[in-house]
Amino acid sequence: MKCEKIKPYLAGYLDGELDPKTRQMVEEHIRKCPQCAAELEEMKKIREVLGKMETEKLPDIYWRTYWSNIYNRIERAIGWILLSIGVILLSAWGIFQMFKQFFADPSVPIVLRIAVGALSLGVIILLVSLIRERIFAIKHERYTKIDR
Amino acid sequence: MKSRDIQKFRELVEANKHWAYEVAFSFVGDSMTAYDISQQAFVKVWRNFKKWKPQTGFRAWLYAILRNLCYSHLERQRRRAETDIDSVPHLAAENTDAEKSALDEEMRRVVREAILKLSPEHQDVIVLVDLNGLKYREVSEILGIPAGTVMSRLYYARRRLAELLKDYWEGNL
Repeated sequence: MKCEKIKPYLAGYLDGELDPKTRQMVEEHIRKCPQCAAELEEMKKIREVLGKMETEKLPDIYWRTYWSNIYNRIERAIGWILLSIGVILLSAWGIFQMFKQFFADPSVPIVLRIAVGALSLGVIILLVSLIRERIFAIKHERYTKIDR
Repeated sequence: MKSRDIQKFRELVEANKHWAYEVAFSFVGDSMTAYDISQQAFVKVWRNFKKWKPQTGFRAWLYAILRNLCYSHLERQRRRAETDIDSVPHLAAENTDAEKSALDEEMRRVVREAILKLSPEHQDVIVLVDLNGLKYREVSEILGIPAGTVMSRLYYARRRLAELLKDYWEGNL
């Protein structure tokens, strides 16, 4: 068999993932082919290096509190969402009432009304633009698009 | 959310928490960050729990979330490192043990950096087979590819890794 056909089996050979027949075929090829034998040695070295990449062990306390930490995170996230909704609604209502009184007041000069109206409209447009840009950035985040 | 779902979710957390931590650690190489990312992943799982179809395999889903969270973290870290010169790791060798430990740590850092230079497909097989010790069949289920493809990807991934590490290990092994 040609080297190119055998080479991908070298990984399976080292990992003990080949059936006996394929394993024998690889062994026979390696005996005859110094190039593939050298490549097998290189693969062994790489596996040896990767074998040294131990995962750091964490103290037991981290695992005992794992579930409660997740539960707290979820609970807090719900809390923050509700709090944010409340703040947004209250602020919107407050701003609406403020504007209502401001524009309903006949003593406010027309120029001031136009200026405040333009200023408010500008702030709203800028805010909407920023939010839209942020949403676009989140949707097109480089690493969230990498799928299986 | 029904209490049955909460119970099921808790069981999945308990059964996969160590694995999630190990996968995250393989990418980020820092225990506290890996722990935090593994928890973030489970919170994401919870948010989309109703959408999950059990027949798709939980680890496949969890792995995709973990990998994306790790990539985002590494990307943020890379951006910070570009602007903060103090964040560049340096070795402190005061005695023989510390020196050896620092060298091991340096080796792990170099290897991790090399792994991150591989394509995402190659990273997947190296992380799952070589760093987490999974069998080809398990990796095949997680990645949704045939076991034969796992083997050939692993071969090309290791070969690429050998090229990337050539200079380093000629001087150190």
